[in-house]
Amino acid sequence: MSRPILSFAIGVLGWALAGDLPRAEGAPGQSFEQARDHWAFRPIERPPIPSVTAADAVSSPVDAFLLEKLESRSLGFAPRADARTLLRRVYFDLIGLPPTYEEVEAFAGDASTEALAGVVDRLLADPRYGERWGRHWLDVARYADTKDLVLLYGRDAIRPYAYTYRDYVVRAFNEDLPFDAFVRDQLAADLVEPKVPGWRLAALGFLTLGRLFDNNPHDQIDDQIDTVSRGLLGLTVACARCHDHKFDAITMEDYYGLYGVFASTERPYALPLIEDPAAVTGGMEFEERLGKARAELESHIDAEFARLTEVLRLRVGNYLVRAATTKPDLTETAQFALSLTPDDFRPRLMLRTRRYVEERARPEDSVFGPWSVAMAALEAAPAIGRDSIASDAVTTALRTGGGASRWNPMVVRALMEASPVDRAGVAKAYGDLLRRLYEASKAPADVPLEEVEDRAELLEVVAGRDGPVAFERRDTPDHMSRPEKDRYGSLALALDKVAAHATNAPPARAMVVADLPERVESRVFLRGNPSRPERPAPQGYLSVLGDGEAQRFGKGSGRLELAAAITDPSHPLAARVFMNRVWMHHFGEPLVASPGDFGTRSDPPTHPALLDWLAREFIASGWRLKAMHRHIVLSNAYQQSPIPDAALVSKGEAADPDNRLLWRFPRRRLDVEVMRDSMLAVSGRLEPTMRGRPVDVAEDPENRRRTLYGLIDRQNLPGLFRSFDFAIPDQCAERRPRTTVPQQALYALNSPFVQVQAIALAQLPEVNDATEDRERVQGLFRRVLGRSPNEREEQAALAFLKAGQRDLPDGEARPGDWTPLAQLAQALLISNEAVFTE
Amino acid sequence: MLREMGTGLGFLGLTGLLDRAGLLAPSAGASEVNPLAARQPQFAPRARHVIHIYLNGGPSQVDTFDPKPALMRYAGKPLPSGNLTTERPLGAALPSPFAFKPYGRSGIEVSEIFAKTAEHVDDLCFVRSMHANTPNHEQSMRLMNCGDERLSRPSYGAWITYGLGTENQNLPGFIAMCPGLPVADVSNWRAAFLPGIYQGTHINTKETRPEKLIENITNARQSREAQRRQLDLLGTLNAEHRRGRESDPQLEARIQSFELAYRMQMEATDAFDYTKEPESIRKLYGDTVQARQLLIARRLIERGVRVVQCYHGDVQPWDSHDMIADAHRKLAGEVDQGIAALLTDLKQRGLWEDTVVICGGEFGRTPAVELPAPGTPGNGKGRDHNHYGFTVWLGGGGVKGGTVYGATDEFGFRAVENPVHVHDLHATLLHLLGFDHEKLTYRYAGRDFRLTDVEGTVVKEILASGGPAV
Repeated sequence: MSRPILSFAIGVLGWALAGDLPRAEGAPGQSFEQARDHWAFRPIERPPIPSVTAADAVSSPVDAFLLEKLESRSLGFAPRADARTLLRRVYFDLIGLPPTYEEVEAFAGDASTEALAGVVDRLLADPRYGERWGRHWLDVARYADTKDLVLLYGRDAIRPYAYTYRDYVVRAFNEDLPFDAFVRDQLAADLVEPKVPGWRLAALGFLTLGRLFDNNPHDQIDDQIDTVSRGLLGLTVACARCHDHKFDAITMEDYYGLYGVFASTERPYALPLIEDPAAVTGGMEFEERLGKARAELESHIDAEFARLTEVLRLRVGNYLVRAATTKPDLTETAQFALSLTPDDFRPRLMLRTRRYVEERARPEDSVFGPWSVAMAALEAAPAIGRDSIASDAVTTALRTGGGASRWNPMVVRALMEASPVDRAGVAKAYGDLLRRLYEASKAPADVPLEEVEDRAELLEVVAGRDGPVAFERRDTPDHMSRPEKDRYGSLALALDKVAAHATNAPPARAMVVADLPERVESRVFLRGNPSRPERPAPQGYLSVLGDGEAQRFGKGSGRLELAAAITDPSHPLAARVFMNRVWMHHFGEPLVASPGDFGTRSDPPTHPALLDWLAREFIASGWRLKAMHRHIVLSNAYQQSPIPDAALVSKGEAADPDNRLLWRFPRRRLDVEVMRDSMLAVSGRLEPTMRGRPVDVAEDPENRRRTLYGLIDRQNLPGLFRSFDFAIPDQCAERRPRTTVPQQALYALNSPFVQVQAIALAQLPEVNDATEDRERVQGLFRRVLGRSPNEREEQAALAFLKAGQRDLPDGEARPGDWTPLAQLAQALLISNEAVFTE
Repeated sequence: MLREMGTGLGFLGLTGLLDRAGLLAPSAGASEVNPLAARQPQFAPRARHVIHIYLNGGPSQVDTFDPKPALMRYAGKPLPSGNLTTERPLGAALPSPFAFKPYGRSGIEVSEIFAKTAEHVDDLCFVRSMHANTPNHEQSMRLMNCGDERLSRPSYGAWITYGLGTENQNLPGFIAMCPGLPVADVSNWRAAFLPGIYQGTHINTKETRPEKLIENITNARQSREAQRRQLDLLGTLNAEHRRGRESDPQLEARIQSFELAYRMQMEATDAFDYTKEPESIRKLYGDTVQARQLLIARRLIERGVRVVQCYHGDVQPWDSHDMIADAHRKLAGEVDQGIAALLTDLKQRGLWEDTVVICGGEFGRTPAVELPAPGTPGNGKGRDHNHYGFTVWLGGGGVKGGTVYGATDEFGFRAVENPVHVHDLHATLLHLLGFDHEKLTYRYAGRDFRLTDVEGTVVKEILASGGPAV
């Protein structure tokens, strides 16, 4: 079936209602079928492995695909890198730390591809591997440890259990959890049958760790849609929030189909324990305190829910009158936090009442049929008539009746008796009747048999779940008056604060989500405005990825079905998108330049067949990443030299100046994590503790943990992270920028952290205990760079030490001083060789 | 003064983006692009720098720059036009406790609490018809700074630095000074999806020692001479490493960045050291935190910094829900002399024509009194937030001085004549700096984003004559 993406009718109607929004430019007037012709939507092929001239240069299928392109430009691979360069490359790449001098020497003895394979196996089995590769995923997951609420600082802002998501990711990479299970965990670990082990529940942090957007639920859902779609699918679905996507075949129905999935999902206050409190120091006592804090919050919500429910039932008439006599005001249509007084109309319920009346006020409706007829009669009555004319008009209309439909006689009677002269009067008659019946229903009384059904029908309006002023318990805070809402806010924050301020780490809990008891009936919001729900958009998947029609999700929120759809082996995007990111981390540049956007505006892959081969192979391997690392790292392409001889370079630069075809191995600055961790490692100070609450790596120069474990304060990202191109955790990060700015040099030169490592290096036995400067220099070079100095370097270092000696007050330095040796160590730590991998 | 232009700091991948936004000379190659190098805008600019005097918290327009004598007639009585819905319940009309009088040739009326600033009215343009979307601080702060209330969008300062680069490579291009943090924190000057180097550098002016204002700007352990020697050693090591790698611009860029950092240590501390100003100048500004910030702002602009924001205080000092007569008098007292001094100083140094000065808050306040109510801060002597109408004034390069643009209703509640939305202010600001706000874009997540999203109209009536046609 072929359906135009931008239906003209909907487009015109949508835009007309939307007012003066500019029309979509270049909107694709194409069908989904045409759209599916875009390379990224086509099925993943199992491409034949090309035969190349330099067949002996092929050690992995990866090489054949690369060589095919290279040979078409008369290029080939650079010679193999020397042992030290290669070993450092593999270490930095796989575990994010440099090899020691001894490891380099050992590898230099046998640097064969078999020996390399042994090294790769060892590194992939090292828990440091998960710390390195897990961090790449945390960029995608926009991981941070804090909440972005206003006036919340320091520990108060911490999400005390966020780290369990980070630890989950690290463990999942270390255990080589199949990627399809990894995705399923992150979208629906709570729904998987049979139940997953506790630690995997923490995967749901993927959905719960995003920004809070001043507690605006629609923005939170938008962020979830954005992270899932750009992060997993390489599609910019969030572009379709206010209008159909301008360039890709993604409709507003698609967006709101996903919206329905996440809107039918809540974040419970009660988070499941994933660690035994009895096994944690102070765990039992802590749980008791936490339990109290939660009970206090729950009872406040219970009390307010009961109280507000009752108040609103009694005031349902006021809502009807206002709905009948006014237009929606700003408080109902805009999204801002109002300080409500007890007497204020609750904006969302007011809007709900309007919609309720709008839907029911038609002649055939048993309860609101009389309303619609009465209102119509008032409308038709002469504008400057006397009251009696108006009320006569109403009475006559009511007598004429609802034709074939049966009207609730109690309503008709109430209206006749009230003989209203205006809209407010009609609404008030309803309100009075409803209130009277509601009050009466509270006391046991004999209801005449013939009235039972009529009464029940009316009580349903007051107290039914679908009634105009009904709301769910979970929405209670929206309707609280200011003092109660403030109290709610502080009680809710207290839950996190109890844990965030606890001296001992509290027993771990998973930041889960849960399906609502009933799914939300999702609709397209006109122009993205939640106060203007329009046509239905049931929970479902992207139409362009469906077989003619969008797949609809039938179970609960639909999260499990969403995960299944994304990880279906026939899915054209998930494996491609993930393998593209993997390639980017190995080689610096991805095959598709925009890892979060595989849409029609993206550049096509430099090597489409290679990308497909990787994706197919990945799926065939059971979605196991470690197998893919081996294919890539053990390829000849990966083992190339970064500095081939001049003739090769000039040829390569002429044919392919950006090295997109990989005629040599590229060079790049180490990520901030690898840079800092390596400094700790070479100075012998790296503390290998894994897991747990975040620590201060940015401001505390004495901190020895891996940078991965550093607190990521979303609201106030430390300077270290900002100046070294850390992924901004506000949104799913496509790729990190690569800048060279003087702030980085200032950090290298002046930060206490670098100085602490330099001093520690100078105190190492092989440096400090040496008898000659020459030995000291050699010790430092081996430690920091994994090699001995050449003669020029040695001369420069010795001269530097000598000149520095003159500055020392008595020519003597004490351990821990800022000695010339420490300054030399610092120069090595911050040298280009130390901070680039190639 | 040290100015290092285009020294080849690498920023890979930016070329295409700058190119798309029309910000790149056609000859520049990827490796030669310094992301902060000064660039020409899209058309001849009217100004090259921005100083934003931020009265954060929401100054009351009817007590400062938008006189409403009608309020006196209704003092203590309900406004005949009724109250608009704001965050908190409102009561009767509350006349301004301050006297207004006309100033200058233009005769623009200004409140007594801004008497010194008022001496400059003939050079200022008062936009009395500003309006925003929401009477909440955090959303309105972000709207004023980033053009969106909640989503992660870049601040205008980041956009401008992205568009224009900066003129002094030894200082950040965009600086936000605040003693502490305003509401909405660092989101006020964030880069969001623009490269992080365009994010505003926050200077916490609670600290006064210049060397403490920028992270890692000084070395506690060694003298400048010792550091020079160390840098020379580093140079030798890096030169050795570069053998065979000569064609890689990243390596050269990093080598250069150390030389820049070395100079920056001097220049940056110097720029923030207001004690280097003669006493007469320091007296002119006065001795409050905001006055000091304004003086530093001038020193920064003078040195080529592109955008400087001076937040009055942390959180939201101008948020006078109660006792507005005392509170506003005190707040204005902390800034009036400093503003007047800044305007005088910019003019006498020839910086006025090059600099757009903006003064205002994220919204205004209600002309009706805020009622005491449970959970609200007022006791019946202050005003609630008002986003329906407020005043922002501008001055300097390209701005038509001595003018009032737009008007609120009789009581100062809602902008009714020539309303200017925050998006329009942004469009106008970019225009003054030489950009078509619809064309200064950045491709991210599948879209070309801009500061004004799908909104914004340049308010050409407030532009001085002689500029490029709009």
